[in-house]
This record gives sequence, C-alpha cells and structure tokens, in this order.
Amino acid sequence: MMVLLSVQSIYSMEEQIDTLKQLNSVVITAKKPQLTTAITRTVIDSATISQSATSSLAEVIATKTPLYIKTYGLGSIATISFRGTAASHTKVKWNGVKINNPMIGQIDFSQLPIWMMDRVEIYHGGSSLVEGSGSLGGGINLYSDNWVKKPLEISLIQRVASFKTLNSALGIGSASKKHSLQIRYYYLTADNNFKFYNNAVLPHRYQKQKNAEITKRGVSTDFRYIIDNRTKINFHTWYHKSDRNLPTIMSYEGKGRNEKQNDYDFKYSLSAEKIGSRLKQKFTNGLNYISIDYLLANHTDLGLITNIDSRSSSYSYINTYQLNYHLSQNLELKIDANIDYHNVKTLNRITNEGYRANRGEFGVGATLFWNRDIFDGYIHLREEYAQSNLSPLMPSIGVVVNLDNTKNINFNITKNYNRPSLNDLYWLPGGNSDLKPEEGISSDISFNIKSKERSIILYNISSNIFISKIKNWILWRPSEFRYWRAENIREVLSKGIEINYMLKYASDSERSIYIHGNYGYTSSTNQKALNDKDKSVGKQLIYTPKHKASISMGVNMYSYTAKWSTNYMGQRFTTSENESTRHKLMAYTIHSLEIQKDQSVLNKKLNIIFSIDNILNKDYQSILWRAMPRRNYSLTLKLTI
Amino acid sequence: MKNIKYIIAIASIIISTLSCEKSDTPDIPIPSSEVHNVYICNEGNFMYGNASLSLYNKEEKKVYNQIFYNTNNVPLGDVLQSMNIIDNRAFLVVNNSGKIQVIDSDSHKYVATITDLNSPRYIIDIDYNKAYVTDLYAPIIHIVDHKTYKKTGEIKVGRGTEAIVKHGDYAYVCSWSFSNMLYKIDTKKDIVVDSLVVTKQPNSLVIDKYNNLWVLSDGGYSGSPYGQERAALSKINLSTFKIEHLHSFESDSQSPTKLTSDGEGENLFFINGSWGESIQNGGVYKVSNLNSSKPTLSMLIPEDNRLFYGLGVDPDNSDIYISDAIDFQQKGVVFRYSSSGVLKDHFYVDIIPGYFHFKREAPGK
Repeated sequence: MMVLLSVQSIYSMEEQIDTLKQLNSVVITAKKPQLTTAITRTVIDSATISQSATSSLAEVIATKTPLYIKTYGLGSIATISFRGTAASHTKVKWNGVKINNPMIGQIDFSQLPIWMMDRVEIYHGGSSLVEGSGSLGGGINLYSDNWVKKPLEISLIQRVASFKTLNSALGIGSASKKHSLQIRYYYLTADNNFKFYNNAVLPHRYQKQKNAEITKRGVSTDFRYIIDNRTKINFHTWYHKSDRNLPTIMSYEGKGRNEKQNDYDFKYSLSAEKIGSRLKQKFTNGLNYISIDYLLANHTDLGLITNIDSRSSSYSYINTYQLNYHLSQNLELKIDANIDYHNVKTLNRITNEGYRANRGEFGVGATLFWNRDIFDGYIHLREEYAQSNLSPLMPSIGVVVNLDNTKNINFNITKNYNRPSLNDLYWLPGGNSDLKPEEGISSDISFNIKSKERSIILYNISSNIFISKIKNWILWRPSEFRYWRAENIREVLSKGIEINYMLKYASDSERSIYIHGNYGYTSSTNQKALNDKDKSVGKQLIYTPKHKASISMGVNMYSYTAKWSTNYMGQRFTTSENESTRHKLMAYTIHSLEIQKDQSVLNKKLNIIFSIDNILNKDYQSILWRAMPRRNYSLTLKLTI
Repeated sequence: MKNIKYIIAIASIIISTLSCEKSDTPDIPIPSSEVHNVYICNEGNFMYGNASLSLYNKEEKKVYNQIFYNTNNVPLGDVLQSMNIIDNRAFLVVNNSGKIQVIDSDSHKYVATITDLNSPRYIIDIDYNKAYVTDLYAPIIHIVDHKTYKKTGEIKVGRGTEAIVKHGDYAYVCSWSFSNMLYKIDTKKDIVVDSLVVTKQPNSLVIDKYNNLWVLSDGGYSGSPYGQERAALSKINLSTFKIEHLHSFESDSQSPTKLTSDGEGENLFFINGSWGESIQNGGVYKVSNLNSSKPTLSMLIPEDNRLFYGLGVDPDNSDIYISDAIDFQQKGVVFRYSSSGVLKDHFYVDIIPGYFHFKREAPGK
C-alpha cells in the first residue's frame, strides 16, 4: 500500500500525472482522510481503473495488488485469497451494500467489470473491521461515485481481441447544479477457443479449448440529487447477466458434456446523506439479488441426459446508518448500525434436492478516531447479533506514528468473527447447523515512505507485515459416497509481507519513465491435526502461493506510451501436506506489452491501445489441469467526448 | 536519496527470494511385476484431475505411488473410481474423465484408452472379449471389447448403474443414486431380464461361496427428497432372485459402504460409517455364518478417530486393507490388518484412496 500523508499530497501527485500523460504512472495511491490515518487501506483510483477499463476486478486485483486471485481462466470463476485466507474471508461492499453471496459467503470477482466502478478501496487485515465483520483477510469496498460535472460526457470503448473476443463499453453522463447522472453499459463476448498443449492425454497434442464461450452484459446508473449544500441523495443500480459455458478439465475424453452457469444479478443502493459542521449522517438502503443457474448434461448413447439442473437465488436486504461526529478538531466519533436480512433458496430440479433459509443480522460499531501531530489512531468496537446468537465483542485498535512528512509507521491489532455461510449451515446433505463462527485475531505493522512533493524523481513504497490466526476454520470434507459435510476443523496461522512500490522520473511534462509493482509473501499454514496420521500441520494451505510479484515499466514520450509488465506467480500446492512432485503447480512468469497512442480527433480524445499478453507464449496452469491461453492480442479504441 | 537506497535494497531481496524457487522431480522407481501386488486406486479430488495409481509390494513391503504417471508421463485423469485386470491388462476406470485407461499389468505401460463414456464406475469381464462398464450418469451399461478397447454397444437399464458382479450367465447390477433397484442381466443377450426392489441406495454387491448375492444399501440421507430408509444388508437367493434375509441397521445416521469378501467368499466385510464424521460403533464389520438363517455381524476394527474410506480384503491371506483419506487433500493412509483385526502396519499412498485391487496370477500362468 502506498500511504501518502495527506489528502493534498495525493491530489498533487495525481495532478502531475494527469498533466504528464494521463494516468500511466502511479498505479495505486491511498487516501487518508485526516482522522482515519491509522486504517491500513489501499485505494485503486479512477486513473488506474480507466487504464484497465475492459478488465474485470479480478484481473485488476491480480496485477495491481499483492492479493491472490484464483482463476479458472479468461472470464471464468475467480475467487480471492487475502493474506492466505479463504474466499469467504473477504467481504465486498458496493456503494455501501454488502454483495457477497450469502449462500457461499464469497464472491466471483470475474463478475465485476471494473468499468462499472470509479474507486476500489482495499482494507487490509484488521482495518476492515471498521467496515463490518467477517473479513478475516481483509475487505474491499467498491464505489461508483465519480460524479459527472459537465452537462454531457460520453466515453466509448471498443476492443477486439484473440479468441473472438469483443468488448464494448459506453458511459454517458449528464449533470446540472442539482443533479448528476451517469449510465454505463458493457458487453463482452468471447469464444475462448484458444489453442493449448494438452499433456494430460496420450498422445500429448495441441488442441483447441472447447465449451468455454462467455457472454456478459450489464448496465448501471449512478444518480445524485443535491437538495442543498449539505443534503444529497444518491441512487445506484446495477444489472448484470452472464452466460458461461464451463470447459472440462484437460484429461477429459468422455462422450461429451454440456456444463454451463448463468448468473443474473441486480443490486441497488439508495442513500441519503446530510453533512453539518460537526455532524455527518448517512442512511443507506440496498438490495443484492443473485441468481445462479447451473446445468450439467451428458451426451449418452440415449441422447443428452441432464444430471444437474440447479437454480439458486438469494435476496439480501441491507440497511445501514452511519453517524460521524467531530467531538473536536482532533477527535471524531463514528457510530454505525446495520440491519440486514438474507433469504436464499436452491433447488436441483432433477433430484428435487435443495433448501430454503433466511437469516437476519444486526450489528453496531463504534469508532473513536484521534489525530495528533505525530500520533494518530482509532479504537473500534463491534457487536453483532444473528440467529439468536450475540457475537463476542470485536475490538480493533490502530495507531500511526508520523516520523516526518515522508515516513510513517502504522500498527493494528484486531479480533474478528465470520459467521458460517447459509450453505455451510443448511446445505442438504452435509450442512451443519452446529457450526461455530470462524474466529480471527490479526495484527499488522506497516512502513510507508515517499518522496517529497514536486520533486523530479517521485517514489513511494509501503511494506506491510502481518500475522493472523484463525480458529474454527470451516472446511467441507467429502465422506464415503460423496456426501460432504461442513466442519469447524482447521486452525490456520498466516503471516507475511505485502509491498507496493513506485519510482518515476519526469524530465518534463511530456516525457517520463516509471517503474511500479508489488510483491506478496504469504505463509499460511494449518496448525491442527485431524489425527496422528495427518501430515498437514505446519504446511502451506492449498492454492496459496508463498510468493507473488508483479512489475511494470513504462515510458511516456509525447503522445506515445509503452508499458512492459511482468507477473510472477509462485508455486502452489494442491495437497494439504504439500506433496511436491505430481500435485504441485509450478511457478510461472507471464509478460505482456502494451503500446498506446493518444490522439485528438475533431477535438475529441482518442486512445488507441495495442497489447500482447503472454508474449513469450508460455504454457502454464493457474488451476490444476485447467488450460490457459498462450500468446494473445488485443486492440482497443477509446473515445472520450 | 536514502529512501532510494531503501527501495533498491527491498527490490534486491525480492529478486533473490524469487530466484530461490526449486523444482522437484519425481523419483519413484517402477516396481517389478512378478509378485502378488496390491493396487490402490486413489480417486483424487473431484475436478482436480489428480487421480493416481499406487502399488503395494507385499514381499518388499514397499509402496510405489504415481505408477501410471511415472511410467507413461501423463496424469491418469479425474477420479479413479476402480480398476480390474483382464488378461494381463489393467483397466483403470477414470470416472470424471469419461474414460478407461488400459495399461499392461506387468510393465504398467500405456496400451490404450477407452473413450466416449459418460461417468464410468466399474468394469467386469464377461467373456473372451466382452466387458461391462457401469455408469453413474447414463442409464445404461456400456459394452466394451477388452481386446480392441472399443465400445461396442450398451444395455439399456433405465437408471444409472453402480456395482456389478457376474455369476454364471448372468450379471447383477445395482443402481445407487436416488434408486433402490437391482437388475439381472442376461450376458449372452445383453438385456435386462429381471429386477428387484431393495433398500434405498444399494452401493455394493458380493456373491459369497454359497452363491448368495449380498447387497449393501446406505439408505440415503436424512432430509433427502428421495427419502431415507435405515441402511440394510440384504441376502438374495440367486435361484429365486428374492430377498432371503434382511439386516436393518440400528440408526439413520449409519451409512455403510464398501461391501467385500475374503478370497473364499466365506466372510463379508464392510465399513459402517457416516457422513464425514466418526459415529459410535463405526468401523469395519465382519459378517459370518453366511449360509445360516441368521448371519452374524460383529465389529472387527473400530474407527477410532479415523475416517475409513476404502476397504479391501486380500484373497490370498485375508489381510484387511483400510484407507483413511484424512482431510481428503493429502496423501491418504492405508492400514493393514490381519484377518482377525490385528494391526500389522500402515503406509501412505495418494489422495483419497478408495479402491483396492489384489493382483493374482492369471490362470494357467
């Protein structure tokens, strides 16, 4: 995380970058509003988002942060592991509305096109508690609140890429003194029929990926009505639909199968905020509706036979109230409360297996922020109630020591709880209503350093050392005859380091070079044996790379930009005792090149971007025996009016 | 400028750390085949494609893992459900890869792949070139030629098929998932000639030395839309094709599996377990006095903080092999017991060991 020490300094840096060549330099900056400096937070800003406009949030997080995204490939399911924790240990909010699927507790990051967002805030470790419970690894907040200020703004993106990939994105904005409205639309279709080397069958051979087509589309609106200087109403909506065929794993040589997943999501966030001289209040009401249809059908000698046809849907009604009161210039009290209700149902229409369940959740949090010259901090307490159970008190304490204007040290310690998902509790068969919440204690310390403002050489580096322990970690274990059951059986110790860095030299406003990147080291190990033959104690959790790094180097020359990016993924184990011969996923390094030309056409801004991914044509696996694309190309045109 | 030095130092540490990555290469010898071996089918995780074949050499008391991959430089596939040896060819049934990998049972070298199946489960030898393959997701039995390794036809059964045994000119196959049916197949005509309703979800079959057919049913699970019955062990008279004796288990939580017999077919064995957790009185049970009107069931090996998953009985000496998949994400362990239930030793195999095949010398060899 790159922590800058005042809001002003961030903007000054962003202004410089905008002047230099629109966006290409700083990837990540962190906002630190004055009284929340002790919260460890990374912000992916609109500049970075604009650079990756046709990507999903999964791709942006994978390349721009040290966090690990487990992905099945282009457009396929992508889940997060934050500091070595499970996917359900990262809670995501969109404009203040929780959007994790209450059935599984997690979220598919491939279903979140970055085009629909203006800002992504990543709360590392315990700092996430101030935003709500359950984020044992960390939390992520998404915002679409870059309010349009002109009467008319239009931006249009068209991208063509290998494997019959076509992206379109359109944004139209309009604003007056009283309102601001932005409507965004995106469309993605890809055949994903890439060629790969199949060494999981005999004879080994090149073949084309089959049954991997995807189509995604969505539209969102962001509307703000300004009642007066102090009172505003915001209304956001987002409709998203995706149809994905799911390819088989590389060793499949059966008669053929159709496997597909169709997702349909709708969410809204309606909020009213009133800002006084000392008091700020905000009420948010929202809905998160998720529908997932999954189909598995086999081609048999008797024709196509459907084996699974499941329909799952969930409604999450979210209500939050937040109050910020400035007790003094250096002291602020924040109170937040939420009342949420989740209603889920799932049914396999072939076997009639399924369940219905609902859960109400109530939570109250109080945070006291203070600010002294060199010594800022906060104390947070949270209490929640769900399913007739009052959670234990969840505390979080954060302190930042500002050594001078360019250096600080940040410390945090937190206790957090994560409730079991509704599938964990009620899935038939195997759901376990006796499950306890997962319990996490985490602590981190970060060191942040940056250059002085307005120097020719700009740099910024932050390193974050963390340690956490999670008890009652929920794991599904298959039993005889493929019934699975959820149990509180693991105890996990995670420790590691996250580093972000940036170095930039700008000789004048039209020429600059830069290097930026990140590195993550995560040691996430099981601490509890199931019996005396269990060899997983002290071993790295599966699909958790110890090392992950990325680096980008770029040159801006007048209207041209060139960027070389390298992403390194360390080896990953797929067995809990870290067997390292046949079941290990090898480390891989993928390089990509991007060349951009900025042009003015009839006074409109036109960006032409050509990129090559996997430039060295490498065969690699992100998931065991799942094919990934070799070298591929894309051409993007972006027009801003 | 001090800060720049700090940045460079950190970058150097990162680069040096990354360059320390090591790659391991497998170093597992290929075993000799001239001994009686025990093959262990490691299912691997569903959708991981990490199934593997292990071999335990009884004379050397040594285990060899990944013998298919190490011999043929290719992974076996996704979920190795079972195997059978027919005429010096080992047929490895790779359930979720829709195929059967065929290897030489002496050298373990790849011979062929029987493709275009759906969800194959078990294979049995029918005659000099015909074999039957059951299928979980297709309501048929596949007919394959075990000499040419081609599929030659199918028998319409009407439901997914699971365990299969042969007796004389007939094969008996049960339908497990959401079913309670046992079918009788005429192996000359390749048609279903009779069927019988048994306790819900029959999962394994054995024919004993007295020519009784035993069917073990897990009864389904609590809350299933198909309903649940108490698990049961049924004894079927093959000449009348009727249930002659039914042993019903004591509680709904019991979900017995993996019915097998000793070499003589004089005693039966099965795992009495539950869903992913140990139950009271869980473990390996022995069924004896098979031809009496009241066969006796007795606990032979208690589960004791383990989760028994696979079970095999050595036809030569009735040693009992039991696997525990531990957390189902690591190398499972196989415990070897004497026929009287005394622990001899244990060894580690691979992920989710679920099926044992005891290699015997081919007739006339």
